[in-house]
Amino acid sequence: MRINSIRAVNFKSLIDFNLTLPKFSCLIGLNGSGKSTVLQFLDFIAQQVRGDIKGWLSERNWRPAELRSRLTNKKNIEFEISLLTNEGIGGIKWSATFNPASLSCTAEHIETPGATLDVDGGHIKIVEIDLKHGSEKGSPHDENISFSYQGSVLSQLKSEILPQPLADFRNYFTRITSLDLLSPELLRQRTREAAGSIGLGGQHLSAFLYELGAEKREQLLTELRKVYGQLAQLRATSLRSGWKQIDIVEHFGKTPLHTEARHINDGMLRLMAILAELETESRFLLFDEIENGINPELIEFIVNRLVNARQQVLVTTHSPMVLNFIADSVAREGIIYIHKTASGATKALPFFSIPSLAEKLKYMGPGEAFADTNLIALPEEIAQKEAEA
Amino acid sequence: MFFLLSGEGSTDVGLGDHAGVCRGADFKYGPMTAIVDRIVDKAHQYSILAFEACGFVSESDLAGRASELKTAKKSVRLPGIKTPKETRYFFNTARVLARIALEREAEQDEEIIAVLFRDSDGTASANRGLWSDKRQSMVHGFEEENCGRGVPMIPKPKSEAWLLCATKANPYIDCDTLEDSSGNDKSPNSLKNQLVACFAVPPNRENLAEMVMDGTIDIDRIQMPSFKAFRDRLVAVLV
Repeated sequence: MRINSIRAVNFKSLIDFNLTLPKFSCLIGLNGSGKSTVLQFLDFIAQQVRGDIKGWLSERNWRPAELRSRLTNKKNIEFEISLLTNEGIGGIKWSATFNPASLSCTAEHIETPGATLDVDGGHIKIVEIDLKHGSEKGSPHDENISFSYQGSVLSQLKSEILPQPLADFRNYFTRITSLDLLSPELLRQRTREAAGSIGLGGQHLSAFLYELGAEKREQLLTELRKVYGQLAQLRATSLRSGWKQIDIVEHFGKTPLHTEARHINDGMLRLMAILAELETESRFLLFDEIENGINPELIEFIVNRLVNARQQVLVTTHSPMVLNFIADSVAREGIIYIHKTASGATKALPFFSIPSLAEKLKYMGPGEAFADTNLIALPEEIAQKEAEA
Repeated sequence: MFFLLSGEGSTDVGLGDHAGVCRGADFKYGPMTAIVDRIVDKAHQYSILAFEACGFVSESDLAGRASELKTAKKSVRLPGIKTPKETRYFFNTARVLARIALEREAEQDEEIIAVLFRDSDGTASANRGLWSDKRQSMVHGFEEENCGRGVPMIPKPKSEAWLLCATKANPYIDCDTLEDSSGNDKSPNSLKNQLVACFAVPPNRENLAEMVMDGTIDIDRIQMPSFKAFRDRLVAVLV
């Protein structure tokens, strides 16, 4: 399963926002255009299924009212997500209305080929569908909601009452991982538990690598050695107090050099975090400003790993070099230009669907076309393209 | 001496009947090729069209060869003080045509003059960037490939401005201001509509080229900086 498209209404600058997402996408645009907001929105959607919206807001230091756009008078946030199955077939949809005052989705409709879920007016109805006959299978689960919840009602439903397609749906959204606040300082921290995630800023990396197990750590080491040839060992150890610590051993000539996490360079730590996430069961990985702290020699390696990852991947970048290592065929759909309209609304369109950029792509790499383009003057051409459409 | 020309569309340099270099009957020339012919004829009393001393490379052939320039992914040429934005397209198109010209020069042992036509306000820049920077980038593109006989043919904002200047009732007056017109064909009083209004029949590749050849469109009347830059360079490489 993977996300095919998203629609957001009234989430920060995503006032009326539509985006189609291929398996690999890279958001580009000027500072303040809303790239990070798109990542935050996707993490917000995933959090609906996990529940604990309060905790999510607190982690970001946000107040509930800050979720809404300041440019409209609307109180609620609405969204629609469409997904594709692993075979690339559509028909999985989720639409909901989120109320920032109650921190919950007060209306929801989930549609999968084998089951539907509807929430409206404090009432929930779950219907399982017999795919052979297209009719309802058994009696629907139909009740007034008597429990409190944050986010989607899915966050609180027991597995027993969920038909398999809805259980798969919930499982998918709990495996969306956003690393939009990855920071070297946090990556260096010792931590006790990771619970399957390195954390928004990478603060659980040490425990995460420990919990990953020896075999997967060895795979990670093999990957890292491709760009850090001197790297001999990657260790994650548990200290007496339960804190987990990362350290590495490098060989310079015959001399082994042991380095603790707090002295490992930023780039290696970031690469470690990104590659570690690729080894997890995550289904959709989101990375903000992927090039940060990574030297140009490693860019090709990391872009190749992300483009060819098992998971769906979304990154943001300001780097022409990152874009230049993306094949034209991937770039045409996958490089998405995020911009703001005169009224302040964030919009998205494939960068190379803009006529001048499509023409440039014939003669130069995606990164060169990006670097060569005056982005400040680009809205004029986009407006003209839309007027003609 | 052989002229290798390439343009953006059929109504400027012309079109070819097949892929690769088209010449003779396979090259349906347009008004910009006719302009090249007239300038060469005036300078050397020699018609490149009459003597079939010119060939045409289509835009799609040029784009097909451009993949050669995209292989070195690490060598991203970044814009900066020395390289303005919105110029890379002109640099790279010139490099590709230069390569084709030099290959042909080596194969056929004859001097090739490469003429590359692009509107200053064409699809690839959509009114962004300066004409002078774009022209200079094309010059640098030819130089990058060591092509000493490359000629940028870049009207500002587009070829209709040159043709209008050569056609309008009061030549020599206000031609400069045509260079500041919008290149957008959908704008009110667009250059394209102004050119249509000049003729009794709708202008097309064939009749525009004929009118350049017979002098109805008199290129000696074109007094515009973008045309002068092109003509001076063409005359210089003829020597």
